[in-house]
Amino acid sequence: MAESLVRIKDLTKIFKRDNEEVVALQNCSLDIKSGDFLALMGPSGSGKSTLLNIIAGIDRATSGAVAIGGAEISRMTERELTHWRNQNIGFVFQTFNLIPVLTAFENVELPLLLTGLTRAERKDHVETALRLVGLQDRMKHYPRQLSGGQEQRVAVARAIVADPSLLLADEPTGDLDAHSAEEVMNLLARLNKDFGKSIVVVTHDPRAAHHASHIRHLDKGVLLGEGELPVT
Amino acid sequence: MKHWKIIWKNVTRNRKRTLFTILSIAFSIMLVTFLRTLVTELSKTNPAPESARRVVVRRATSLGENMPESYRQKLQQVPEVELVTALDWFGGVYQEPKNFFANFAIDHETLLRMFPEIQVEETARQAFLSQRSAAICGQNLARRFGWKVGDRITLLGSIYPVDLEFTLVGIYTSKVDTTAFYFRRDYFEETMGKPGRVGAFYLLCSSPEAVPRVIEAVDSMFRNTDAETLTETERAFEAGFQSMLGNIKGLVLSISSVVVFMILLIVGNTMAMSVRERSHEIAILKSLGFQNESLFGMLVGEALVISLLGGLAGTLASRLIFDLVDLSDLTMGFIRQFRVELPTIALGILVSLIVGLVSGGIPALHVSRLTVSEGLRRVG
Repeated sequence: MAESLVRIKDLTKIFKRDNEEVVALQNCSLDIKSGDFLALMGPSGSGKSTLLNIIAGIDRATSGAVAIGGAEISRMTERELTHWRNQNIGFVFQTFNLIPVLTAFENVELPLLLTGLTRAERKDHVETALRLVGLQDRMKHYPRQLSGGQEQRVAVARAIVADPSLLLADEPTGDLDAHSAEEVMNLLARLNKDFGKSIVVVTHDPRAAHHASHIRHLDKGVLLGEGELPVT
Repeated sequence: MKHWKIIWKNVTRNRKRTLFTILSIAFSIMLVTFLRTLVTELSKTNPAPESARRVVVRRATSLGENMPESYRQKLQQVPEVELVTALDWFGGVYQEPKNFFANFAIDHETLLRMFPEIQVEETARQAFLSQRSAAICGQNLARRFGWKVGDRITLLGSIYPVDLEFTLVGIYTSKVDTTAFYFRRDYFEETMGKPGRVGAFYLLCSSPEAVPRVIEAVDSMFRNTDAETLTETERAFEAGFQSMLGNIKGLVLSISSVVVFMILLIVGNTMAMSVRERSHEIAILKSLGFQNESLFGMLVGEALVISLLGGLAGTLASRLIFDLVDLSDLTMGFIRQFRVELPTIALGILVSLIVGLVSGGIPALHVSRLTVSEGLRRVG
């Protein structure tokens, strides 16, 4: 039986906006096994991106515990969390978020600049990652010279180049056409199936969720059980 | 070194904005180096060793008044005085008023002994001693008007009601100043009808240590006479002219401070805009694992690169321009030499680095402290 990679217990997140409190997540508990491909679904405002950001260490829970790969990230300092993120998380954003003044190669290389790898080793890793996503011929292209689908594939390459234990994607196909969206989801599926990457994808698109091995729904900040659907 | 590529790419990201920022810094630093060099030049002392032994005797009431010629013999008898030279400021112009330069009637026998920094050929020295209407001028002055040895030169009197014609017998070189014109005082006296009055006496003391004693002896000697004297070192005498311009140093410091502050505001605003536009990107880098210090360092590095380029451009351009432009010509000899020296260049670069540090540091500190989620919410 696969071991747990992500353990979330009684997680609550409350945002404060202009003296008002907004409960984004309520007592969420989640167990993600190593090698899982989990899709988090729900309507807009249900808290799925908030949950993903907390798993990524980009945001902090108001209460509750989050442990990833045995590391209790909810107790880490900001500095420790930033370092941990570089070593353990690969994140794919909806809007690609590539640095426009850097080439595809340089964008993918970014996480490796924080490691002790030599220039030659970094080059090797980057080329491997870009080859994996089918963009080995686009290394010297800038984001403005790539299509949306290609940009997202570069973002995926950047997310996997440091070989993280967990790959997180927040609406990775949200800004893509159907064909590009399918390409990206197929890529993620391949990373999961062929390379055993643990993946959590936030999406509201059922076609994207089709590639996942598990689907969980969020409804108004509450994580529903597996198989449960929100009441419409 | 790994991050220098990112820094450089961001510096060249918006080339027009970067270029204008660099130019703003460059022109401001040019102004600061110009002002500082001006103060340095005006404060410079005559490097000739004899300058430390020379004193100037003039009328105590005003430089515009003169003293009896008979003072010469008395001055020659003052202990520790080796040489006495009488000098009058003629103040003539060449052809038209704008062609103004320093021109003096001076004792021909003692000129070159009193001012050995004036180097002239032996033939010229002999001609100056033997020909009544002989004159010598400095190299820069000769170049300014295209004069050659043998030329007949007429100076139109502006203070005195005479025009004087000379034969240029020599062109002198000097490490101090080559913009002056000297002619024989006996020729001037004869033309003026021998009034027997002198504008100033230069005295060469036996040693620098003798100077204070000579000053005291001379002024004591003429105290309570009709023409009391004010005797001072050559340096103090020259400094007196500068003080007529007011507190130059204070003025220069004020202007420089305003310029630097202005540049801080301009560059600070540019950097703040640039950083604000990239808050989202900075959050992305943070999400990838870049620590606050790295991000701060990259942003400040960017500001430093831009400022340094501006500082280098400004200081080197000012050095080049003032090497090519003859300011002694433009200022009619008031500013004899104008060279932007290495300490001034270093100061210009230091100022530009400080501007970079402050203008980049403040916005960088703010943005680098944003959390990832706050930064990602910002639209870049």
